[in-house]
Amino acid sequence: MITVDNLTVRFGPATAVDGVSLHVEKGESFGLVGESGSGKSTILRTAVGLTADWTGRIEIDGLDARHTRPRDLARRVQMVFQDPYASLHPRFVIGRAIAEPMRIQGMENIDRRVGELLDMIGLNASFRYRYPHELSGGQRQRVAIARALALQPGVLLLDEPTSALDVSVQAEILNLLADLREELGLTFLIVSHNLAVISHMCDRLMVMQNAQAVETLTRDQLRARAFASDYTRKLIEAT
Amino acid sequence: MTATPAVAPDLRSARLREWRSFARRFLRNPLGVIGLLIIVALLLCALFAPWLATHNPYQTSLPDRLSAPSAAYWLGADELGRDIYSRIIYGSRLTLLIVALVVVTSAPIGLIVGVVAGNYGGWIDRIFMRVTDVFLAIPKLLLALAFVAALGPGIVNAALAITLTAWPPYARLARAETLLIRNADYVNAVRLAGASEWRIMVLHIVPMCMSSVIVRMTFDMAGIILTAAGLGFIGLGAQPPLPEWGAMISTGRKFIFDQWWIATAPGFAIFIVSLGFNLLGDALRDLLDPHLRQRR
Repeated sequence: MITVDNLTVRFGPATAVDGVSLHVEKGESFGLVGESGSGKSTILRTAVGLTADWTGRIEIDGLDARHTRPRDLARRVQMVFQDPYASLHPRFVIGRAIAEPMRIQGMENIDRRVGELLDMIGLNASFRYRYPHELSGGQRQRVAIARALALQPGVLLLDEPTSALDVSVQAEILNLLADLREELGLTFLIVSHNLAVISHMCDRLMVMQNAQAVETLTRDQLRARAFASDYTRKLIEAT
Repeated sequence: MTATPAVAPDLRSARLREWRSFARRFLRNPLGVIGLLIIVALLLCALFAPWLATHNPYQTSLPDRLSAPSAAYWLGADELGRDIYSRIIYGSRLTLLIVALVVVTSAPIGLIVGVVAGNYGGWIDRIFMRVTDVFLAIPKLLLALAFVAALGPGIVNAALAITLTAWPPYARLARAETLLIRNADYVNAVRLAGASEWRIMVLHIVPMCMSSVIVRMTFDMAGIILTAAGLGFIGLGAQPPLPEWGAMISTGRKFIFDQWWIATAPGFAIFIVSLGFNLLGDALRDLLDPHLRQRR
């Protein structure tokens, strides 16, 4: 479903991602772990076209990310951002924010879809006409998830989806995501520095350090602490 | 937001509720309310000038020339015996006309230039901003003077001339805001949905620039009034016999030592109106400026 082959991303003189390859099967949930600055978020942002200067190959759902129009790619892959306080337009009511991707794509029955999406993320219809500042962080993140699902993509990229939230709300959002994945058959690529989140959510994970991939583990290997590298051991002991 | 807001059944009531909460916060600022009252008074003066004025503002009466304030002439009479009070009341129309003309032209021009430059970056940004710099480098009044000299004096030309000098700060402001907003996650989210850059600019970036622009506009109105009065004073703005405040001061200047009220009354009008716009601008900035406003 997602293939990243020898991806290198540069920001001017700095190399944010250095020759990383990974493959995610359809329906799988794959985690990217590493300290901040290790380049894990950059992989996500590059996959959806938010960085310009990159080499290598990215293929999502059979589409080459470099040669596909953003409009077409949008229906296959969407992203949920880290900070729910920054990812909703402050001047748009919730219903409008969720409807916007569908309006851009010229879809039909938008009004009904917005209702269904709100229902799907567990917010009642009264939220449709509220502004983001009237919502809590967890509620906002739910809205961001609904917006990402509006175009019915098969792949969801999650960039630290819970790190900006209260601990009590984190579990709610993770459970919601897990349920949605099962219900809609989604493929997840999750970035997090929180190993508990990753081991809860992911079938496999990749550890990153200084822009490079260190190793790839399955969930069972993670739980059995069967690490090949010292860095992974240190990272896990530190958290 | 302390209590959970009441459920809004539709978009209109959601907007109405936002406005109410904005009005409530605005009313907590007494100086801002005073500013608003001054502006409302100015609007009412302009609207009801024929009923508020005691004389025809163009009616000369040579026997009464230069008469002091009295029951007949509340603020005295000028060098042709015209009632100063009535002229000031009618002058509010000219003031508002100039301010409105300048604002409705300069703010959109600056907004478009700034947002396009900020969003596209690269050579478009460089060209647009260097042009803006050129306009900013010429002294305002000088540029306006040259323009009026080329086109001929008059109210509309004065407004155009002021527009020419007033738009660059809006472009700067809009560009700075755009640079911040275009990389915000909520803009990235619509970019991910395949939105065109045009749609992103018009629907997502411009609304976020509006609050800064409105604040800047309110402050600018005071400056516009002063510049317009300055042009009127040197005879390049409104032409006689129009009761423009700057031109009135200019004629009153000749008598300032013996009949001081002739220049003082319109000067006071300019002062009060500028003060009103400044107070209102201050209050709006406290409410709207994204850099002052804390995340609520």
